[in-house]
Amino acid sequence: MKTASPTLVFALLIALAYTLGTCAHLRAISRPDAVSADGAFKKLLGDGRRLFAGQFVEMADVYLHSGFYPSIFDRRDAKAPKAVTGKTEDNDDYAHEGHQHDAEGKCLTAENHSSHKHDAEGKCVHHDDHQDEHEKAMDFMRTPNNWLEGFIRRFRITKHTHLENGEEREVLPWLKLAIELDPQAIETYTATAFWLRKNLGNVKEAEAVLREGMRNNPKSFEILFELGKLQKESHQNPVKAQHIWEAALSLWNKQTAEAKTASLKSYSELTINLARLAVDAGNSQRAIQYFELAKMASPRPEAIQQQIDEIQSKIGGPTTNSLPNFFPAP
Amino acid sequence: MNTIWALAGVVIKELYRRKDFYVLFVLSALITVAAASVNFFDDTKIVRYVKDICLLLIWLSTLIVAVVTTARQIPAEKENRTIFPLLAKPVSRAQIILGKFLGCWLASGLALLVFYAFFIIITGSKEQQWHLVAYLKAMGLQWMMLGVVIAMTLLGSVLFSAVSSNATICLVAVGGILFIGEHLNKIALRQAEPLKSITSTLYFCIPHLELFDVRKQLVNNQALPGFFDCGLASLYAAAYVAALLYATWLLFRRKSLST
Repeated sequence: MKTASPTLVFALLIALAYTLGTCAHLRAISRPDAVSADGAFKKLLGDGRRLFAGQFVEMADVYLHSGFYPSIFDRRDAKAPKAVTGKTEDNDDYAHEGHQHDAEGKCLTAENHSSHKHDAEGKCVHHDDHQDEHEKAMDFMRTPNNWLEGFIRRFRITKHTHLENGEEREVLPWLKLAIELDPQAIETYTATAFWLRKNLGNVKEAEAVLREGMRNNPKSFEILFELGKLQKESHQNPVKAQHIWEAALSLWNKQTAEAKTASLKSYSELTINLARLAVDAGNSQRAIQYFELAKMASPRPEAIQQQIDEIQSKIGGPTTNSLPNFFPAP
Repeated sequence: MNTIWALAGVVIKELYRRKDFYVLFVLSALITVAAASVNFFDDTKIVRYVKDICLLLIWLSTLIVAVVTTARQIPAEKENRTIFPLLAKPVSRAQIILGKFLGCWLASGLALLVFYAFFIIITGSKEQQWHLVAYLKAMGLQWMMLGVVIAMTLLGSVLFSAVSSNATICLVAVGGILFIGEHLNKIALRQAEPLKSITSTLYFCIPHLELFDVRKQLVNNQALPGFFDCGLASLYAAAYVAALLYATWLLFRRKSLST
């Protein structure tokens, strides 16, 4: 009997394996209970991949600081917010030097208004308190203890800087990987969208990221809030922004009591921005109603009351303070 | 000196005859090209992660090449019994050590040149910037660091009988220095005596290989140390190389060569 060539046998085995593989794949995807294709990380690491997501966010933060970053051996506050994710709160802080801002970063009240600068569009440009906090967190390089430490430091990055002039794009690969690893980390979506939209002007990709975030986290009012900001600021579409923020507020209301208490900041941001939209639309009644809601969640209700008083004085006399029945108070 | 060069030449020939370097280079190149081809948000200007990955692979590959090549030099000569005809010639044991060191160091330098040429082409074409002086400085510093690693491994090859144990111990020691060497003094400050003094002594005694690691500056386009500082770092490395080679010679000169 003539023996077959080993090369031919090998080729036959390869062809057989390929044919079986493709047949099995086609059968698997045609099954009614077939799940959608997962990413490489999920296939390789399973749910354990979430453990690494934080490392990638930290890597993005390292890049944002151009390599100037404390190691695990340096004294640092592990819970301190990262600049790469904390930046998303620029201009719309909860209680910023005694007053609040809308989504555009404009002061909501006249309080402390003269104590800081504003840009041409009226947005606050003072963030000294945040910068001080961040500078303090990044002041990990003490005076060298000995000559060797001093010598090694000559070969290290010793200046605290942040990426600018479009170089912020370098943090995006790590944020993208963090999203792949932990699709339930809402902060990563909002941070990625912020950098894409605000610093790189890539609104299309920012919107895609937020929509992907909504697909993976359908109950996230934080992502909806960012999506509303994108509609208002980038697409100049206040009507769509209003609908999205109202949907976000509705999602916020569906939470448990404990979750509501933990996310009062989001409630305040949503109601303030909805109030601002109502002011712009000339709907003073609705604006006051939203400000009333915001007042309940605000750490400085007197500042918001001042805003309400201003609107009331403009429309001449007090109006009904009844709250919209579709958004109960927190 | 001719004897030392002749011995070094044999080591260099060995590097390009063996497959270690080629495998590591092809693997590094494939991973780097795959990483560079990934599209993030349709932004083609994103490049730093590619530099980071490529430099990490260069560091790993050259460390493996240097340690594995050096670790087998003296044990292989003993095992193949080629050490006896070698010593029968007018070659001293000190010359063997110097020749082996020089050969391994030059071979690592050649490997570094090939790796950095690839790195410069890949990142330069993507970034459209050519920081040649910075790359040369980084490569020079890494080559000096490899000199210390090679001297350390050569000492290990006299101390340990098996090539595998020497290579493993050296790689673990180098990895340990690179990761925590710089922070030993901070760790020492948090310890109680006598651990504090021991850690502190260790901090001053070990060769600080992490000093030569300027990858962060290269990746983030930050200024590298000046030529004067690089010169001082080279002197620092040369001092450790001299001390380690002297220790190797002290152990090797009276060591029995029969296996």
